[in-house]
Amino acid sequence: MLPSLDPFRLLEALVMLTVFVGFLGLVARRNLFLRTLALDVMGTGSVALFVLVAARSGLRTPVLERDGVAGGLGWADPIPQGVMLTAIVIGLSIQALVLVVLTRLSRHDPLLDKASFEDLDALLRRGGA
Amino acid sequence: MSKALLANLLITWLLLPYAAAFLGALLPRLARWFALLSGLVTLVVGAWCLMGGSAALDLIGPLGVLLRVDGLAAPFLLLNALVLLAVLAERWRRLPEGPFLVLLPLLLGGLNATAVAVDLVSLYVALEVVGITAFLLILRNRDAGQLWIALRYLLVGNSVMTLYLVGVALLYLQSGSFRFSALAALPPADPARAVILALVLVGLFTKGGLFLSGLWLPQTHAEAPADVSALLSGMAVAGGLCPLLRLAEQLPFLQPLLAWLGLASAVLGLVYALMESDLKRLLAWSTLSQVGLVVIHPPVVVWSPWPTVWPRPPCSCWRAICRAAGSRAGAGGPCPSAWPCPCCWPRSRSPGRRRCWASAARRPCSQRRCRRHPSCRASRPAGCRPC
Repeated sequence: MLPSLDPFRLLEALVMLTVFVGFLGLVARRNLFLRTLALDVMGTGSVALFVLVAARSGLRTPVLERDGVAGGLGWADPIPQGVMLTAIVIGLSIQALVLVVLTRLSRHDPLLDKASFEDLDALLRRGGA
Repeated sequence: MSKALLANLLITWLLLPYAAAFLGALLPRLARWFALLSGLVTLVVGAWCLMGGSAALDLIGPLGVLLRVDGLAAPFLLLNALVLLAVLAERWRRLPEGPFLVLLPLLLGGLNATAVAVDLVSLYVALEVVGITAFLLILRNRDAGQLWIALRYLLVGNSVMTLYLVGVALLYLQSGSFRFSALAALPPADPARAVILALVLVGLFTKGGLFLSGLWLPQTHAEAPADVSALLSGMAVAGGLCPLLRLAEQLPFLQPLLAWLGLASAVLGLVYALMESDLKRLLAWSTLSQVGLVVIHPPVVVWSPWPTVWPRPPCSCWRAICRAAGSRAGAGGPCPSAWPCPCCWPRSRSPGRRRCWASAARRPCSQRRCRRHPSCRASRPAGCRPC
């Protein structure tokens, strides 16, 4: 018999799965561009978790309106939403920086294979460049 | 000084590096003076904390940003300021190309914030500022090696910080707050607490370069330009350590874990440093080792003994010693009591040699020991005379 499934728990499990899939991709992929995408998936997961936490108390965006209350929906929690905005901005800027570096690195190896840069690592370690 | 004025001064201090970076970008001729000014002000604030100054800033209400400028932050603030000033002095005449003088105050600003933040979200933002600034600092020559190292630094840092953020969200789910104290207040049997702690600690360990999670550190520090690796080793690593010490202060059961990890990190760094022939890599391994020493015994590193950690004092002697040593713990907080008391130890070992004080009230001689100081007879209690 299935236990009664709480929709919040279900969504939380799905979000955690997203984070985990992103992490797995980050660790397992050899292509640096795919790793960057995996990082973005992870970031999406964490943002979704904040949205989910904020939506426990209600679904309406916590922005003041001129008109009255619409429908019977409660307000979403503004604190996690504010944090989430910060996290989105930081994640976006980091993605941008990573992509700039990837563009430069693609001159070295257009396939962006991690192994070719680890060779570079070994080369640097021996003192050459 | 009034409390509001103090709070305003401290907020000005926190914002000063960012203003210095902004103005330095606008007025490149004065940029080094702005950087110097922000370093000197941080030095002053660090010295003020070291002298016993402390303040708690509660910005924007109970759910807002909580900052605590206190003795625990003092060594880190002083370190930030000194390393910054040293690097600035070294680079004063021959500035590197690129936005070095803009990034330098930014790094200082982020690290000052990590040293004083007491809530997890402010800490997240500050650590990301440090991470991005350090990334940009590493990318000076933009050759392939530096690009790869900087990319790896950013990828590792951002992925652990995403995990950290998941932990923060779970903490908010459990307790409705982002404070360190909320993390400490979770019930110990709660499985969520272990998950949250693990996620947060992974972020801090990796940022702080502790033991295995710090294995990214040697090559990054070795490959960066010399002055930048000084900044990374001296300042950026401490951005993960100060919050770690603050967490251990709130959660005493973390301290044995930290001590063992620190020991492992110290030994690992030492062994690898002994086997290394490249000088910069040797210094980077030494950083890993020193990081371990920092977390092993915080009372050695942190100026004041942790008031919440030590049990109650056995006698007044420790308090007197603490006061004489200038420690804040003597000024009312408990003193370390695990050690034998130096002034009454010989006497308490042999009861016959105890000084006996007769109280003013006439009682039989066997009961004339003053009850107010049951173990320590170093000083004469008020209202008593020698037996």
